[in-house]
Amino acid sequence: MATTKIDPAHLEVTRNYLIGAAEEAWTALKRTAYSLNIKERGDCSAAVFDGKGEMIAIPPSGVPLHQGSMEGLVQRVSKLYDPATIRPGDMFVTNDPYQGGSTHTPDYCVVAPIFSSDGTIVAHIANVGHHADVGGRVHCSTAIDNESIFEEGVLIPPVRLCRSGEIVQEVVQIIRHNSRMPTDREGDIQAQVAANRVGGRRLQELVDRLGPELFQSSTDALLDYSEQRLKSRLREIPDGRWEALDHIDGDGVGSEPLLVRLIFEKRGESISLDFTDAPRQFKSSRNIPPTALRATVYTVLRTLVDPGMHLNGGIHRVVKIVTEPGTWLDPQHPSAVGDRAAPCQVIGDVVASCVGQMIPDRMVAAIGSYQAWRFAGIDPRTNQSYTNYESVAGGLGATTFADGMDGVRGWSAGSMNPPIEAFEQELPIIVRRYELAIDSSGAGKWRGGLGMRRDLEVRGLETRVNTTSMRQIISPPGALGGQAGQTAQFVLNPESDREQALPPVFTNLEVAYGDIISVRTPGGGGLGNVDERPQSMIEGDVVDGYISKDAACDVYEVRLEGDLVLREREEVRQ
Amino acid sequence: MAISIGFDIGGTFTDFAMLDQDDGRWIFTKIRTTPDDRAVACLEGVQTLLAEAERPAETVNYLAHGSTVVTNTIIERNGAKTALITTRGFRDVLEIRRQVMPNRYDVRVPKPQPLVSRPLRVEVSERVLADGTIEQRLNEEELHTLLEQLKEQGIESIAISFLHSYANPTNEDRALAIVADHSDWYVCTSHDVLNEFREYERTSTTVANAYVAPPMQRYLDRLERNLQDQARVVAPLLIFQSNGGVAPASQTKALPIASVLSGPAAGVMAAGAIAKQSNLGDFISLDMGGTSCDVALVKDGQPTFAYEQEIDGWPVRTPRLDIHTVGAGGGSIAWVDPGGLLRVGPQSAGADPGPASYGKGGENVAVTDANVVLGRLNPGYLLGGRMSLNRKLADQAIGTLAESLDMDPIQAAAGILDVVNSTMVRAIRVVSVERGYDPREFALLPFGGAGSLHACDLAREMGMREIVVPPYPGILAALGLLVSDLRVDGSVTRRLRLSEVDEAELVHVFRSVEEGLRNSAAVRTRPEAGWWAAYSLDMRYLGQSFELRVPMDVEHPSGNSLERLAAAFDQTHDQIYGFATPQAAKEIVAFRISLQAPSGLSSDQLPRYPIANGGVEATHRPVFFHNVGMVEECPVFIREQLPLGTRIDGPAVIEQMDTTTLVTPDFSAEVDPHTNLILRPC
Repeated sequence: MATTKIDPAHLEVTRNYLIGAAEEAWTALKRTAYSLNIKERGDCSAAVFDGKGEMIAIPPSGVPLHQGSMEGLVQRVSKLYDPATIRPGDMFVTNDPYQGGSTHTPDYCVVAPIFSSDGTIVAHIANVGHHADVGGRVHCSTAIDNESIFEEGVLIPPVRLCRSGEIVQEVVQIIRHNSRMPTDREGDIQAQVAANRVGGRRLQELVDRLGPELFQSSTDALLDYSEQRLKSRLREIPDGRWEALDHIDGDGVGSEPLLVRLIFEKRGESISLDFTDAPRQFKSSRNIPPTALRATVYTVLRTLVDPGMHLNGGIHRVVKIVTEPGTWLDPQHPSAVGDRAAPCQVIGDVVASCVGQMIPDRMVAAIGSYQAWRFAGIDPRTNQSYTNYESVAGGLGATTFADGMDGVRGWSAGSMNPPIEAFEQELPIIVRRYELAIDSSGAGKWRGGLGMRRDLEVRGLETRVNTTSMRQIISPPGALGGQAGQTAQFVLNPESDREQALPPVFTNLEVAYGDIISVRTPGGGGLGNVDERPQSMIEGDVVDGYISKDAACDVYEVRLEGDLVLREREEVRQ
Repeated sequence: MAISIGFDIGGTFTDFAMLDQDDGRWIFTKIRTTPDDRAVACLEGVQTLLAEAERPAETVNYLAHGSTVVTNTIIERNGAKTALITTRGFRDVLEIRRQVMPNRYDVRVPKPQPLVSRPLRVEVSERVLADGTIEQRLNEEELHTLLEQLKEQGIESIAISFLHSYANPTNEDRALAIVADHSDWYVCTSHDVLNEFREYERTSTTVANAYVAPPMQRYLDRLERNLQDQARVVAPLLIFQSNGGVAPASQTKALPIASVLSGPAAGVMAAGAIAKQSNLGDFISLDMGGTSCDVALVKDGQPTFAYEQEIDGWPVRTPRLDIHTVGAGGGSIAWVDPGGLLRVGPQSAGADPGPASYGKGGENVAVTDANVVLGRLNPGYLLGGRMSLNRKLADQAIGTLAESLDMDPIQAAAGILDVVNSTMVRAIRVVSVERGYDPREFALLPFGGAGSLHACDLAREMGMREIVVPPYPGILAALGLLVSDLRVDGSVTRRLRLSEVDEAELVHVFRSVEEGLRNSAAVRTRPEAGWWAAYSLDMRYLGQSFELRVPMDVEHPSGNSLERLAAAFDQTHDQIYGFATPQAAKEIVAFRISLQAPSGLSSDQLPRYPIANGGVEATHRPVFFHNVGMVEECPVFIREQLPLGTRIDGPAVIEQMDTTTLVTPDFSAEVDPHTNLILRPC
């Protein structure tokens, strides 16, 4: 607890202000960025840290997985550089997941210290943006078969990006020079600097007004507040120990599906999550660094335990995550981690399953993971090479009170779809279909959310495609008797005589001009028994085309007469 | 003889303002809104005004109306049964949205139901590419078949939205012609409603327009008929639009979505007229009512514009005043969160049961209760004594809250005001600092029931040097209808590199958009109104995705317009984001024009506060001020008693029927020649 008692009204005013400062930074970043991924898909976040590097405030606008990025960076900087040499106007950048920076190499983090009038660092403003390509073995830097971090692009340790307010051009040149999309890199880095300047100005005003002591006791009190709020929620919940088992599709480079096991214990005012029973780290990029694991755990706890949670470092005091170093959930340098976000979807599901056992009305079935694909080639409109990527959402799992949402990102994944019109303006690709995938959801009293189908026609030359995928072999399980959602599929030239099923994940698949590459993302799991689903809801789904008549008859064991759904069992009863 | 009438429908009341231009007499009235048919209250109010003024209906020569019909139709989901015709493969664009949860951390908040159900979203073969090339012409046979099928569905309205129609509208235009030929359904195309890229937002806006059009047409027809047949008012009805102007009802029937934002925008326009009267060009308006607070910035007499907004979760992108709304009002509820923080809002106690002090059984502590406990609000003088507040209930409720916070009641009440003020400060920051304006260079213009109660604290926090409290802060929306000009807006997306165009080409594009606007219902019904045009370009650095607006003088081509545009863009970028890259390539994305024509009252016709003869008499009561504490003998004045030129040093309270103005100890108040109260730090 803070030594000075902070007035709860003052604290709320301060909290409001800090969230506002980070939000201003986030808005500036999105609006001045150059790459499709940051400006249109919003794959970026901003947050405020205290003088020691503990996260104080993060607005909900960013991507949940980024909550883990940036944490640890400040500590790393002060280890590498004598704090006495750090000046106002300095900023540091890194993309190295093993240096406290990001959760994979495409995420560049930029942090700026904020000084009080007596010259001490009392706060930091930081932001992170996912840069579509940072160099490395393959375009977009991430590929499932990357064997080490050294294949995942240029690795920038924490270095000065700005010195006393001036951008260090040498660093920008290194970042530029190592990317397949140099202009985007420079524009995005500049936008990240501008974002910290905008947010930093705001933060500086508060520091100046409160003075270093009151500012620091206020940020300390905010950490206490977040801790106390979560603890008070936990006090309402009975103690216990729960287990959840699920599988990931494998290591992505040839293994069988692999077990994911979580032991979740709630005792008094604290929670511990034990992930130690896990396979050794992979020779692929599917490893999850601890920062990404933590961000995923926090996202699920926030979503299901306390949506009003004010996320910051205070939560660390309540939630303990245990991993075994050298396993894929605590990989050691130089393991590759580029593909960490897809398995995080399954991690989210096992955490949710335990929370659902702990708080029965918050049970949620597994979500349909998203799939991502990355394109590179020559754009014949400009004769220049291009590379870019996007991710396509699956469906959410059913809850105890509603169907899962159709076609949205779940758990720690959170960036938007690019507008088709922006996508086609910038890439030599024509979108042919973008729709909810019929019959993809898991049935139940509440059905899962539908996955989606997206078909792209390649209009570039020398085009190569990489993918990220999950829930393509192991389907998203249902809960409390609900059925599993459908698995994902990649298909080349669907519904033609050249149709070809593609493997779950692949690197540098060559596709020709005019080929259509199609993805169907998985649907969410259902919850509760299918015979408890009201007939009117089955009818509605058939009329709306979310489920086919055949599937309705098969899965829900009903008969259709016109648009009317009749239950066989009930007829027998009559 | 000439009479002007403005009436604005709000959630609870419909407000009326009337000026008899012959004798300068103003009459204001309020009628309870009639939600079943909102036209009923409108008619009743107009008749009441005419009776009170004892003027015949024929003398009404100006009639302007603002309503929430469009918004309510969407929120209440009682619009027309609407179909969407879209490009094959894309009927789910509307439902998939941006593939994120409405609230990323809460599965309990569902995605909103689309305004068009899935079976009524139908696909037709056609395709335009990003560069405007027609890859596939509209398959007309398919469309005919679809229309036959839709006929059996009993639809009333159709939205047509094809990919890349902003780049080439040919296919949409052809579909429009076929639909119009086929039936008398209302029909609109996406490039007509919003001629800009981003298919989800454009489709959503177009669908919303089609969805509200039939009910809005019926409503306006009914209202016009009632006014003509029953009230005998023959003046043409003008409708207030989100862009801060009015347009003939025929224009609104054609494009109803342009009138989605009404009351708050009208309030800003009235504030603008009041400020202009005092030669004040730069101000921030703050409309604080019972549940929310609307903040807007006006620079050089011109309100700023925004294009992004959501109605009940659906993007509706039409030109609108940049009004930032936050959940901070007199009814905002104070609560203790599980971590021990004092929070205020966004939930509101509403009017019933309302704050604890309303005495209607409400147990929630609201901002109003804090103002009562601190002596700022006179429990006996709300609405000129027509409504009273229960001080004891306010004390009790705050006392309970204070106990759970381990604070004393006065400290807790002051804390509630700090918190609600911080929410409003953030809103002021959004419209000023985040847009590159320094709030210290702006005056604060508070209105609504509670604005002037909080104004000094907000102005101090933002470093603002002047506060203007208008004579009647409660009726600014109705007043705004009477001071607004005729206005229509148009735009077109054209992506052009600044380095590759010449001035003549820009002028040519502007002229073609302008021609379309001059053919709009608004201009055609008022050809002689004295229309003038304002031109601007949306620009960005090549590679960015968000644009900044730069004005262009099309009437007086200077020969160096392109250099000036480039410089103006760099400067704006620097102002807002703190950097500019003059050497970087710049891109024009959209051309925007607004046509305006004078129509409303001039600012010297605005109402003044009636000053009674008879001298100033202050009463006294204890009032709490931040940094000072309780002032036991704080003087309280009645606004009617304050002659022009009166100066009052804080601490003081000035009461009037529809608001209370708090003058903190560091401010003084003066009655200006227009009967505004001007507050300045002393």
